[in-house]
Amino acid sequence: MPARQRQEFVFAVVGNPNCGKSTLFNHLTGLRQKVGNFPGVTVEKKVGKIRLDGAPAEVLLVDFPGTYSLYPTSQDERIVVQSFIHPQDENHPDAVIYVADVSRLAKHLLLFTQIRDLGLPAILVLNMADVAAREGLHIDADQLSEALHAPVVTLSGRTGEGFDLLKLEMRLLMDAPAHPPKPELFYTLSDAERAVVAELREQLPVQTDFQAVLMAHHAEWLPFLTDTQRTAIADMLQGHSFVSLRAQVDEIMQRYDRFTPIVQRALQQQPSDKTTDFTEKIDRILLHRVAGPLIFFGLMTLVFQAIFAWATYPMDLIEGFFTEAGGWLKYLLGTGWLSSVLADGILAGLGGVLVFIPQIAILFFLISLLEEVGYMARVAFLFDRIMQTFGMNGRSVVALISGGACAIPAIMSTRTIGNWKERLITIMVTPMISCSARIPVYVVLIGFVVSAEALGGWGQGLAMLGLYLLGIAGVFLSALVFKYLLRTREHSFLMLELPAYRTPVLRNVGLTVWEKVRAFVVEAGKIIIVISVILWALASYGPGDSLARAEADAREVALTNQLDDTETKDLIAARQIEASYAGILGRAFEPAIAPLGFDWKIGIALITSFAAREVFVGTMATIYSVGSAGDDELSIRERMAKERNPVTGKPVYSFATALSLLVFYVFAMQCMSTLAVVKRETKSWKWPILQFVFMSALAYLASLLVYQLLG
Amino acid sequence: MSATTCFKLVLSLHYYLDLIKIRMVAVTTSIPQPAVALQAGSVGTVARFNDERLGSKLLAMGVLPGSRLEILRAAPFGGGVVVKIDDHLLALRKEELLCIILK
Repeated sequence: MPARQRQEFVFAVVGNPNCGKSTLFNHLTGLRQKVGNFPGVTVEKKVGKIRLDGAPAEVLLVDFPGTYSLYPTSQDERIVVQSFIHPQDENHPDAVIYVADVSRLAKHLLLFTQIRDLGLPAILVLNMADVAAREGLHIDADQLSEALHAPVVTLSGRTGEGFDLLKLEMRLLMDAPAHPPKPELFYTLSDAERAVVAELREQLPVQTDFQAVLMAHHAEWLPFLTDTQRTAIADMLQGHSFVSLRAQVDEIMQRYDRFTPIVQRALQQQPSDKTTDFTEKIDRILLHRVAGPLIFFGLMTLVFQAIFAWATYPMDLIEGFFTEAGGWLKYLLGTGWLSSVLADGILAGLGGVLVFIPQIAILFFLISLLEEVGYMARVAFLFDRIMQTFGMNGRSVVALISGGACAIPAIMSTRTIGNWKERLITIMVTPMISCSARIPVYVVLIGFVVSAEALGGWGQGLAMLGLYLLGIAGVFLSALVFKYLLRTREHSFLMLELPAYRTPVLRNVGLTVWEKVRAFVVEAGKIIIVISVILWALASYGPGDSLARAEADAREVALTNQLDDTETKDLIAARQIEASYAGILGRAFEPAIAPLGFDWKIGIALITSFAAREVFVGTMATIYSVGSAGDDELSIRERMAKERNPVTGKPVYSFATALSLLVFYVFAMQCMSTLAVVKRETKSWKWPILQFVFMSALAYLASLLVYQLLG
Repeated sequence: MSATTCFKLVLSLHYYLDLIKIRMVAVTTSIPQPAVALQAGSVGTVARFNDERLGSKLLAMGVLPGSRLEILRAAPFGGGVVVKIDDHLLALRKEELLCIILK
């Protein structure tokens, strides 16, 4: 492999979970950070540029997932190992900024000694100095630095104190000689390890002993090894009776034995119990057998109430803006295909994406607030047992809750689940949680099922709740099915650190919201705009001169019935879509969906909704040509209520049809972006295809049942 | 025997004792018991682990032989437990707790 050639100097930011690593990263990089993925996996990778005075190269900071040791149990943690031990890896850092919580130093140094033994230059950052000082904890940084053979910086990610010193150390490190004298390893290799290392050195380019040791431990999955190398290493290990797990335990114990005295010497006062006292008191309530779950559901109700109540105003503003802009564009460009594709295709699609920003922002604001405080780890603990019954993990709860806003970030959040089967089940069922894109569909249709006055005005709200519960029931039932279908030999862990409760750092919350919104607009936006243009083409063109004939027909009808201008325009649009390719598709589709109570117009909406559910309302607006009256949900509903079956003369949107359609939207997999994310997460088309088939089948059967029983 | 040899001997003895501890041979004065037998509120000292896979991960998370272990509370719905290891809190499943053997 060719050596990397670049003019950048890369610092990796590493540390144990809950060490304050992201706070430090956010403080150093601010908005100059980009979120991408580590190649080959969808572990989120944050890269930020920082300015160092007089630096000879561009300085990049890469935020690595939090991990406890170089013996990983989840995909997240594997990233650290594979990029650190392979110098040719795209993410191999030039140096490491290792973040440790001062008050937990006796535990947080384990990973530091491992990284040091790999031969990577590292700066040890003692974070949360402000908290430590308040608790009367003092540490001798110079002594620690001497004992660990590394620069040590004391700082506070919260107050910003000490960052100048860190930058200075980074700058010094960049000028340091490429091959500093090697300090002693923090542990002694066993005979078996020494033999394996010697043999590995002959076969592979190995810089340090510990690098070879880690290659031996992780040969099974390390991506840069070839299959031949893998079998060779496996044989080698067997020949020297090298037992990986036993060696791991020995090594970790030795490390603790060596650095514990160092920490004790450097600590001028032992940590007090104050923070844990406070945390334990709160846990007594939040983790209470009865109160705990009740408080959780109370909080979630508040979160959803916030999403619905607060988001309405900005959403109305965004919608209003796009309606205005569309009208203005048409006025400016006149009539013609260009103004049509811009206003009805791209602008309408863009509006359909941007309108969800307020909801996504509010959800992630609240969720990351709970995460920052330290509550989310508790949620995983509370529900671990229940989730295990359904083949998932306590951590799945977080994904399922986020699914209430959008399945895409929710599915991406499953990467903290180490067990593949639990993670896969969570990915497969999460899209059945009613996401925010279903809300407009529910709003339009619910009026046909329950009147606004029903149950003293509470009827529609309760029906909405019922739809959400139906989705949740679907989640758990299908999780059970997957639990019995999927096989795995992998271990499942909970083993979760419950961090001490802390006041949230608002910068972290703000950056999370910004990131998620940006990812949604860019990722989902691209697809939705493309689909919108395709839809526009399907609805605007037909075979031969069929559209022109439809328009002529409509004008004749309008003349005989003495319709005004607006009504004429609406009639032309309706007749034209019937004659367009979309109309033809819908009619071809009709026999399949007739048993569900759907006609060809609903068929068109179903086809377009396979791109994204929220397209439903827009499609309905086009089909029923209320386009001239704007994208208002109420005006669409009024128009749909007038729709009669041409044969029977009864309303098309009867109770049974509307309910059947609602149930269909609860279960159906109608989101291309989600399928794309699932493909990326599972690294195969098998799972998204299976997900699409089973969710569509479930939707079809459920709707069939509803319509046949009630229709 | 000179003082240095004596010192070296004590050092190596200490080292081998540790190794024996890890090698899952109980070096204890009282009868060892799994932590899962503890009631909420009771305290023990970690001696060793009876499962290497879980033990290795617990070690990395700071559960060491000699650590003080206190059971704080059980999860609702018969799930895991919250334990206090020295000065921090961990959520463990029953089988994860079961692998910790106390002194």
